[in-house]
Amino acid sequence: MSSEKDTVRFEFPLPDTGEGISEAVLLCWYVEVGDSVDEDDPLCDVETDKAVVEITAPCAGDIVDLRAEPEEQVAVGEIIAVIETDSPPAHLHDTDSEIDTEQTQTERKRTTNTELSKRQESVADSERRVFAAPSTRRYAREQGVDITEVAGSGPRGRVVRRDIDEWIYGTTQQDSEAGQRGWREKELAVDGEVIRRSLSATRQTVAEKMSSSVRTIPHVTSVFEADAEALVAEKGRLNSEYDVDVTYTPLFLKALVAGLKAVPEFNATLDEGNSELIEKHYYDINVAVHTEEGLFVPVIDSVDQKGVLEIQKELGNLVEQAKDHSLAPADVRGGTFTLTNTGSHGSRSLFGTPIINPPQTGILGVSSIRNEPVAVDDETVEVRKRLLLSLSYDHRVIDGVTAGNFMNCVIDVIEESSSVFEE
Amino acid sequence: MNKWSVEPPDESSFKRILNPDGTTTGEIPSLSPEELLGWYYTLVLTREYEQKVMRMQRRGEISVAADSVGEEAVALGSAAALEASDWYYPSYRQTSGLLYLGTEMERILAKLMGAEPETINEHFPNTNSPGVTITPGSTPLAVNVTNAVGTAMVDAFVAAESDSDPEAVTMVYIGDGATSQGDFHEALNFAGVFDVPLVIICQNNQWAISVPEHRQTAADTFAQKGEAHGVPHERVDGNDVFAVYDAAQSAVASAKQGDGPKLIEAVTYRRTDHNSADKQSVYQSDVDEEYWQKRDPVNRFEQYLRSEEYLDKERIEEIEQRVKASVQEAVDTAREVPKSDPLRMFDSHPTGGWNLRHQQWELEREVSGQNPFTDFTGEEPERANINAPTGTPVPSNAPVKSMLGAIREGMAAQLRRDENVRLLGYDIGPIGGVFRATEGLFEEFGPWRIVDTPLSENGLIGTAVGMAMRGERPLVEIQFMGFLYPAFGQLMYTLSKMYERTAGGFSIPVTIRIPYGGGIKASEFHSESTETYLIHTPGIRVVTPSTPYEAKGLLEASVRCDDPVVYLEPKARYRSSTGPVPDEPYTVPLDEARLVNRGNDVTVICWGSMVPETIEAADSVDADVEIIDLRTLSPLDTESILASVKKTGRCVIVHEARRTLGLGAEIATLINEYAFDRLHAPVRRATGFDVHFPGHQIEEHYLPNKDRIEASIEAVMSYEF
Repeated sequence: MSSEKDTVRFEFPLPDTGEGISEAVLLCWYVEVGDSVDEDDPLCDVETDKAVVEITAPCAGDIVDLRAEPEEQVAVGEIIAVIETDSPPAHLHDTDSEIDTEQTQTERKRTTNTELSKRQESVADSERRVFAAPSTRRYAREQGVDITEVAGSGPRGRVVRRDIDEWIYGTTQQDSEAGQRGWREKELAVDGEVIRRSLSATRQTVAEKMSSSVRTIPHVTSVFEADAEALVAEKGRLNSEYDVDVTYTPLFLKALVAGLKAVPEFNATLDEGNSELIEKHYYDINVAVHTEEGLFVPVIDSVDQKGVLEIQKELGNLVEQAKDHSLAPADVRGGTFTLTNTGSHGSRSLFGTPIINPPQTGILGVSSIRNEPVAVDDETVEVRKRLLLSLSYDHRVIDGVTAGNFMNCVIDVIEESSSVFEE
Repeated sequence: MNKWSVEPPDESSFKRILNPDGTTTGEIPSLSPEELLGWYYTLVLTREYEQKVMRMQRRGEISVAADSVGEEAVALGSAAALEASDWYYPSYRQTSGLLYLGTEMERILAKLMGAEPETINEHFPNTNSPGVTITPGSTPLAVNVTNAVGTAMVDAFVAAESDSDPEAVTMVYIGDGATSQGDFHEALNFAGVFDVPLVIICQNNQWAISVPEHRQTAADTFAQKGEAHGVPHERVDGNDVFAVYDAAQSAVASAKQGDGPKLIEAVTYRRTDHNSADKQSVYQSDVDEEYWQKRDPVNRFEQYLRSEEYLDKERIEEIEQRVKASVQEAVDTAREVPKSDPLRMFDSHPTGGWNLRHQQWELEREVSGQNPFTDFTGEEPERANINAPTGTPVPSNAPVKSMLGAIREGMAAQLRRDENVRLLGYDIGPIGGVFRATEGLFEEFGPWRIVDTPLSENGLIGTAVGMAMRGERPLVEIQFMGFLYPAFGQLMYTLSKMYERTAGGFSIPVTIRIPYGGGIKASEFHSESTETYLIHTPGIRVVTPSTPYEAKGLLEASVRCDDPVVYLEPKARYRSSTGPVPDEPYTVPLDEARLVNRGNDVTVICWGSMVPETIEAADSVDADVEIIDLRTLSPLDTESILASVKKTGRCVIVHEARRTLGLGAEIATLINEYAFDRLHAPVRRATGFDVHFPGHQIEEHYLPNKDRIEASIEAVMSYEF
C-alpha cells in the first residue's frame, strides 16, 4: 500500500504563533531524538510574551535532531527540530523563498550594470554641472554632443537647445523667444518655389542615426572582389534540394561568421571612456531590409549556431514584419555586425560606402553578382560570375591590414561554398 | 481592579428548551432522528476541525485562526432553519453553520493557509451545491449586517411590486461587541423601515476581545436594541440548539410571510481566546470554567440524543472516527493547493487600466530577479486613444439641454431599459431631488423603483452593495460629496473589495451619483472635491462629465458597467452648462480621455467643472494648446496622457481639489517616469490650495479660474529649454 516515497529531512522552524512575535523560550520537549511521531503528536511547549503554546508535530516521521535546549530563547524562523519524513508539509516556510539571497541581489545589480553598459552611455558629467531641460539633454545625446562642453545662454546659465545647435553648426544667431521653434528656417537657403514634405518618423530616426554615426566614427571603405561561381552553384543546389527559397543572404552571413571569429575586432564595440574594446563572443548580425517606409535593419541572433535554411526562414519572417511595420525594437537592437545588400540598388551600381551601424565597428555591403571578363592566367580571359564587397570599418580600431585579413577569411568561404555551408 | 469579570446571565431572561443535563422543557421542534444525528455529526466535526486548525496555527501552517468552542449551537441551530433559496451572511465565528450548509473544509483551510481566492477557485472549481448562498465571512465588524439588509431589501421590493410574499430570507450574524458599531443601527433602521425578510442573530458570547459586555452597552440586553428601530426581538439560550432553532425557524417563517425582520440574541459564552493571537487569562478574572463546561452545547445535545437512544457509545466512537478521518482528508487536500503566484495579487481588479498593467509587469520583473525600474524603454504606448475619434460625434442638431436635464434623461433611459435598476437616496421621490435631478421619475416609475431611504449614507451604500450582490443594479444618490464620508467604511470594506475578495464571485454594479465641487456659495462641506480618496482605492471607477452630452452618455455607461462607479457631477454647472443632447439613449466610453482641442505646444489636462475654464484660458493664451478632458479619473487613460505630452513636451494639470496628493500629483509623476526626456519644462499644476474650502466671500480665490490657468500655461511656455 505504501509507495516508494523519498524520505527527506524536514527542518521545522519556530513559527510566529501570535501575530508578530519574534522569539519564544523553549520550555520543554515531549520527544527525544529517535522517537517516531504522528502528525499532531505533542512536540514541545514554548512561551511567548503572550502565552504558553503547545506545538504539535507537523507531519509523521522520526525525530532526527532537536536544536533547542529547554530555557533557551529561540528566534522565529530558527530551526527547532529535524524530522525524517516522507510527507513533509508543503506549506511551512519554504526557506528558499524566504531569504532575499545575496545571490539574487548581486544578480539584480549585474543586470542593471549590463543594461546600462548596453545603452548609449549618457555623457559623463565632468567637474562642470550643467543645467538643462530633459528634452534638451536628449537632444544633445542624439546629436552626439557632450553637453558639459556647451556654454549655456538661458536663464541662470541654463543650456538651451539653440546653444547646442550653435555648438554644432558654429553659427551665432540672435533668436527671439518665439524663434526657438523655427530656428532652422534661417539656415535653409530658399530662393524659389518649394514644396515641404514631412519626414516620416522612420526617416527622422534614420537621419539622426546616420549623422551621429558619421560624426563619431572615422570611416574607411575598402572594396574587395570575389569569385562567385561556387556561390551561385551552391545557391542553385540548395534551392533544388529543399523547399525553402534560399537567397544569397544566409550564405553571406555564414561566410561573415567565419571572418568575425577569425578577426574579433570586427565583432566588437569600442568603449572610449574606458579605453577598451569589448570583444563579443556571440554572433548576432543585422541585415538591411528596404521597404517603402525606408531602411530597417533587423537582427538575426546566433548566426553561428543556425543552419542556412533556418536563417533563411527567419530572414523571411523579419522581412515580412519590416514591410508590415510590425518589427519590435528588440528585433533591431543588439547586433554585432551588419550586412547590407548594395546590389539591390540596381545592377548599374558597382560598389558603395556603407555607413557603420553604431556601436558596431564594421559593415559589409555586397553588390549584385554579375558576369565579368576575368583574366584567369597570363593569357586567357574567361567570363565568370564575380562579386564586389564593400567593407566600411572604424579606423580607430581597425587598420587596412586587419581589414584585409578579415575579408580573406570571408572570401575564402564564399569561393569554396560547396564544402562549407551546413543546412 | 486590573482585570475584567462578568457575572453569569440570569437564566430566566432567555428562552430555553434543552436543559444542560439533556432533559427538555416545553415543546421540542419536530425533527427526524436523521436530522438530529446530522446536527450532532456537524457539531462534533466542527470541534475536531477547529482543534486541528489551532494545532496547525501553532506550528505555522496557518497564520491566524479563531474558533467557536462552546458557541457551536448558535450557528448550527439557526442555519438549520434555512432553505435552499436563502442567503447566509456569517462573520467569523459560525463554522458550525458553514459546515452544516455544505461549505467544504478544504476551501476554508486553503484560505486560512493564505492562498489567494483565485488559486483556491482554480484548484477547487466545483463550488458548493446550489443551496443556500453563503457570502464571504466579514472581518470588519457589523459591515455585513448592512449588506444583508440590502439583500433582503431586494426581496422586500420585489414582493411589494408583485404583491406577493418574499422569495427568500437573509440571515446575518453579529457579535455583542459589534453592536456598538454604527452599521448595526443603520442596518436595523433600514430593516425596520423597509420591513425586510431578515433574521439578525446577535451571537452574544459576552466578550469583545478583552472588553466585556457590560462595557459594551448600558442596556439590559442586546435584543432590546431592536425596539428602538421597530424590529421585533427575542432572546434565547445560545447553547441550546433547540431554542436557537425554534426562534430562528419562527423568524424565518414570519419573514417569508412578509412580516419583516427579527433580531434574535443568542446568549452564549466565549470559552476560548478571541483568536490565536489572544490570551484571555491576561484580562479575565474569576471565570467560572466549570459553570460554562456544564452548559456546553454539544454535551447537552449528546445527552439528549443518548436518552432518546439515537446515540450510544459505539455510535459516538464511530462518529468520532469518521470525523477525524474527514478532517485529515480535508487537511491533506488543502495542502495540495499550490502556493499562490505573487502575480495573482493583480487578479480580480477590473478597474485597473494601464497603470496597473504596468505595475504588474514590474512585479514580474522583480520576481524574476531583474530590476523592475530599468529597462522600461518608454516606447510609444500602444495605439493611444487621444487621436482617435472618441465615441459618437456630438450631433449638432440635437436639442439643447442643461447638464441636469441630460443627467435626468440618462437615469430615465436606464430605468426603462433594465428593471433591475433602482434609484435610492434621500429626497429623490416626490420632491424630485434637492437639485431636481430626479424630477418626474417618481411619477413614471413609482415608489419601488425610486426609493427614498432613511438618512444614512453608510446605510445607503451598504444596502446598495447587498442589493447588488442579490443581482440588482442600484443607482444611488449622495446629496453632496462632503456627505460621502460617513459611508467610508462601506466604501472601503465592501463596495470596493467584494469583487476582489471573492475572485469575481460577486459583481457590485452600483453607481453612486454625487454632486461635487464649489462655486455656488454653499455652506460648509457642500463644496468638496475629494476624489483623491476614491482614486486611491482599487476596485472603484471614478467618472466625471464636463458637458451635457458627456453627462448623459457617461452616466448611462456607468450604470451599464458591472463595476462600482462613483459618478461626480460638477454641480456648479448643472444649469449653466447647456449643449446638444440626443433624445435617445447612448453611451460614452469609460476609461478613455477626450480630446477637446488638438495643439502642439502644451498639453492641459482637466476634468469636470474645470474644463470650460480651461477652454476659455486656452483661447486667450498665445500658444497652441492641446486640451484633454480625462472623463474617467480612475482608471487613468495614461496612454493618451503620455502620447500627448511626448508630442508637446509641456504639461499643465488643472483641478479644483487640493494641491497635495491631488490627481495632478500622480499625473505629473507618471510623466516624469515615462516621458521625462521629452519635457521642455517642468509640469505645473493649477489647483486649489491645501486648506479647507473657504467661505463665500473668498471662495473664488480658492478655485482655479481662467486667469490662474492662463498664468500656468504661460509659465510653462516661457521656460527656456
